[in-house]
Amino acid sequence: MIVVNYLAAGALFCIGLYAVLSRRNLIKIVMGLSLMESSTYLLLISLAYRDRSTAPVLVGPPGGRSPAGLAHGNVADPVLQNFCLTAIVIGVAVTAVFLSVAVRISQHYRTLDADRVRALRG
Amino acid sequence: MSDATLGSLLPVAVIAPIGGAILAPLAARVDRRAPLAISLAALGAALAVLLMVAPRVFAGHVITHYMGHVVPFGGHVLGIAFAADPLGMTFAIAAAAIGGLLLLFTLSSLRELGARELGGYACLFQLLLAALIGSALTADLFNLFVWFEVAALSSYGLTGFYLERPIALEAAFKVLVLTTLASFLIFIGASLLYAAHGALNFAQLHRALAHGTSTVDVVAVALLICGFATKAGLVPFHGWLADAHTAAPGPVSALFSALMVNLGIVAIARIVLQIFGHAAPAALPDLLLVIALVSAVGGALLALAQDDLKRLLAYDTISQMGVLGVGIAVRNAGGLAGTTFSATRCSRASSSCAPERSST
Repeated sequence: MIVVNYLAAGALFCIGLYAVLSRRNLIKIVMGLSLMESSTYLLLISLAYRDRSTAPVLVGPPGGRSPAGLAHGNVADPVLQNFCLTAIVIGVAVTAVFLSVAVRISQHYRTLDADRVRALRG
Repeated sequence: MSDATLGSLLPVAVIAPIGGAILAPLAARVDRRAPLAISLAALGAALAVLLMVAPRVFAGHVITHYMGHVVPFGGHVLGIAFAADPLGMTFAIAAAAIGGLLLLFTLSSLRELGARELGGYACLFQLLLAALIGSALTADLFNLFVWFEVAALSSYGLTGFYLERPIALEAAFKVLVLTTLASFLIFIGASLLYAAHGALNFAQLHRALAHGTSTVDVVAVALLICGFATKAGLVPFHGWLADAHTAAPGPVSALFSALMVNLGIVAIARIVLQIFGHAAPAALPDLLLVIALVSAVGGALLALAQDDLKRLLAYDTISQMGVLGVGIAVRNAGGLAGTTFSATRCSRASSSCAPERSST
């Protein structure tokens, strides 16, 4: 099951990279980068999972289990999940900057076509 | 002062510029000159702290500080740690000192800007410097990524600072695409290393890797080197550097070539020398040497073909980074000393080019 996740992450990354390289619309380039970003989230969450592990929440354990027992038992790696959260926050900021630059470009050139933006250069 | 007291001062070197970055846009409402005065004070405080710690560091002690006093448990570093070693210290001091001088220079070069713009400029500039000082002092791989990301976000803002200039928008977009791709590579590389060894601290990773490297480690180091080589502007990954330099205001492009790209080299040095050391895959030093030499020669040749002064200086920077990379690729004390020496020398040279940069 987890192999499927790795394959899906790889496929998403490749689709995103293809979009970045082949599309000329700036918004589509940003979408491609977002896809690549989400593939890294999927990869991280899959790396954090161990076979039949539970969520790394030690407060208020399910019936019959103690926090200490959970900590010594089989829980998913919280550090990698934490990475993922950090990456999501950074990703939001980067996407915001991307889109604001795209908005300014479209206001200035009246187009979002990367080729035409380049043609106007110099 | 004891090492612990000195260590507890280390975060101030990062917190002072971040605090200044928050205050600067607010102070701009009071007076036009206030943001720059605050920035200079904040950077002065950072530099003073670094200079207080420096004698002890250069005497051969590594000063460490664990944030929130989350001390290592059973040989595992659990919290966020700062460690000042001579290499990182040199670059942190260079960042604070040269950053302060460039801000002072801004007073004369961007005199025509309004209060709001000066506030924003001072804010982004200090965030960038705080991130650079942080990445020089940090002791773990993930925080290195985070500091580089903070530096990258503020550098996007500074590249596109002249929003009315079309070229700045185009350059900002290009820089964004390329450096974001680099960040993905660094991020995946760091998480692969963590997943394989359960550690992020440089020293802990080094100990884990001493027993030999697996395929995952080789993939991770390849991703990390590609990512940081992009940040450092080494040749196959140098596409963004010239555009960013052309578009950014004069002092900012001096900051990029004097400090930001150098930190990419420091990150590569940390990976090659500190994390991998002698356990590095056999091809790694050779590959790095090839990249560095191609950058050194190729950057210089491309510089000859430029007719824009700022682009010429950008390609010269690429060439300098190649020279710095060679010092790391040879992997001995002399090489590293040469790298550190020529990095500080070319930081000074690049920043003294700031007047020419802003006049073009």
